[in-house]
Amino acid sequence: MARFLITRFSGMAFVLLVVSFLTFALMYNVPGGPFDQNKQPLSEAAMANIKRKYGLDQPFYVQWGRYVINAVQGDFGTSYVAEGDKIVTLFGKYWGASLIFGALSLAWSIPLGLILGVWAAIKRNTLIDYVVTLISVVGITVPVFALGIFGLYLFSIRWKLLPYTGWDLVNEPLTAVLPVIIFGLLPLGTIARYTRAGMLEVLAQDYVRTARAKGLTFKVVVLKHALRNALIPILTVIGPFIPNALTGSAILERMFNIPGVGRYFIDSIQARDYPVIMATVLIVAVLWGITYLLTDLLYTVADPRIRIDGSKS
Amino acid sequence: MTSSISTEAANAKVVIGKPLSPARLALRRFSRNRLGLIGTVIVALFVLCAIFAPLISPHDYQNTSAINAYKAPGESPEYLLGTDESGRDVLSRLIWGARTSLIVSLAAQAIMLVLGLVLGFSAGWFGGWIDFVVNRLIEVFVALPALLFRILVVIVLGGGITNLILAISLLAWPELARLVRAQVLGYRGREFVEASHALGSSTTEIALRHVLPNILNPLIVAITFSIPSVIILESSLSFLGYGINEPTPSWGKMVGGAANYIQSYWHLGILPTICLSIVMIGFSFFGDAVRDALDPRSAQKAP
Repeated sequence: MARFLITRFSGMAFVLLVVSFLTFALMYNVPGGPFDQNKQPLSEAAMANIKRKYGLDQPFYVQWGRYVINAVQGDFGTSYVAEGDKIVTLFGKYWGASLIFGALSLAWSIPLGLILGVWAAIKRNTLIDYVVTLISVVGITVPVFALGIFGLYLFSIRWKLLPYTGWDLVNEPLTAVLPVIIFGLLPLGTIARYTRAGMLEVLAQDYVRTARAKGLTFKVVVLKHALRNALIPILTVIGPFIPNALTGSAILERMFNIPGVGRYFIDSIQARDYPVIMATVLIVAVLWGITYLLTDLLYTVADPRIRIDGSKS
Repeated sequence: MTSSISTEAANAKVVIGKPLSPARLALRRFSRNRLGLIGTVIVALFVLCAIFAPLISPHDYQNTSAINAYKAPGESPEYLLGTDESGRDVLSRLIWGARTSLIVSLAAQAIMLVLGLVLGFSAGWFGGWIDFVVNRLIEVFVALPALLFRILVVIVLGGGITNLILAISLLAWPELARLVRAQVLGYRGREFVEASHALGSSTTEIALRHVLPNILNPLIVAITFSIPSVIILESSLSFLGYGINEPTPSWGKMVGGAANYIQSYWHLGILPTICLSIVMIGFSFFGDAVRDALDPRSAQKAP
């Protein structure tokens, strides 16, 4: 176990190092700099001063090395745009909306996806099964911005049931309904689809028939015997949705005017706010690394036959 | 396992006469799939629109005319699906948008395929440090925030179709590489490969003549699912304004541009969205049918 964790964490550290290098190299080559101003061009001396202050006059590898050394010590620098603001403070401000947005979307879609999947499997080839399959196909294949436009048009403009964009959970909770539903459709569809398939496979197994034959009720068999075994492959499907949801959706945040991290990232690229860009990319990379690690660990809990080193006994 | 064999036996019809070739069997399985046929028709229409865009579009897609701006669908017989904010014909732009989607997805797919095949094959075949390096590379690319990093790449390289293709494909090859690597690992130790090796065939020869034909089916299945995902990427980036440049039409860009006046001119946002959704669903049915036809064993397990 300890060895496994050490290998995984050192692998993650390596990945982060390369990711930071790639991002740094890209940003270094972005045309234009953070302090280019069209309205009031700075004098050359002032510009040189600012560049010296932020270390932008140094060669590329020196800047990168300095960033890595500082980041390891927990110092991600300060934003160029919101001058003097620590990155950590800024993220507290912008990530909040994205976290709530993502968490709300998963809070309804994961359980409902599981329920719909099980339901469709039990009622195979009935109307319910077909409706669930249709929801899955739409949720999985149609891109979020298309779903967003459809939703906005139908619910906000045509039928005037929901407010038109905005994000104000405290005063106007209805603003959250449409984006949260749309953001949840992809996890909903995917989870329902894999749960249905997994349940169908498990329900055909001999041990399920045995459980039925020894007189257990259908409900007990489905919930206790079948679902537990069907759940294992579904865990890997659910896993990636979590970091995905928690890092926000640049598209939906723009479409619904949600002040989240996806929108903030795009604004930061436009403003060439390098420290913010770096921090966002790194945090997302860390979240993904942790997710894969946790999924692997969860596997061993759900199915004790699977060993931590990946072999199956 | 026993249950899957028995269902297979139950499903098999007794065929009298000559045994069919695997290709014929695949074609037969494919043509029996009703949703798959619907998907095929949609995909075929999409490809035909893309190829014959210059012939079938009623207007020049970049012809602007201020008097004809913001026509609703059906308002004027000349512009069947209305016009946009600069008076350009929406129908023509939709047809040309299909072409943009197809070009981007095919070009990106080709690059991904070359990268995935070369890296995946080398990793699986040579093993050792090459395998190690490729695996670490895959880990790095999987860890990058896909959409945000692509926006960064587009900004660094500048907009336009070529850079968009690069931004999409350079970050999307790991999945294919993983697939190829796993498949090659499965074939490396097989007798027919070793025999060919012993007879003095070069690595390239073995790769092209013995391994590639055997991994063709899973590869085709992966590609049929990968093409629509590239189309989604193209339209998402274009929607956000980091994709196709004016005046080239792209469905995603049309939606992005129309999002601001959807309250007054719904058709500008909804029509390209409908096109995109139909094509996506068509590709999904088509892909499922291709997988079921080419790989009946995985089809039984897959959802």
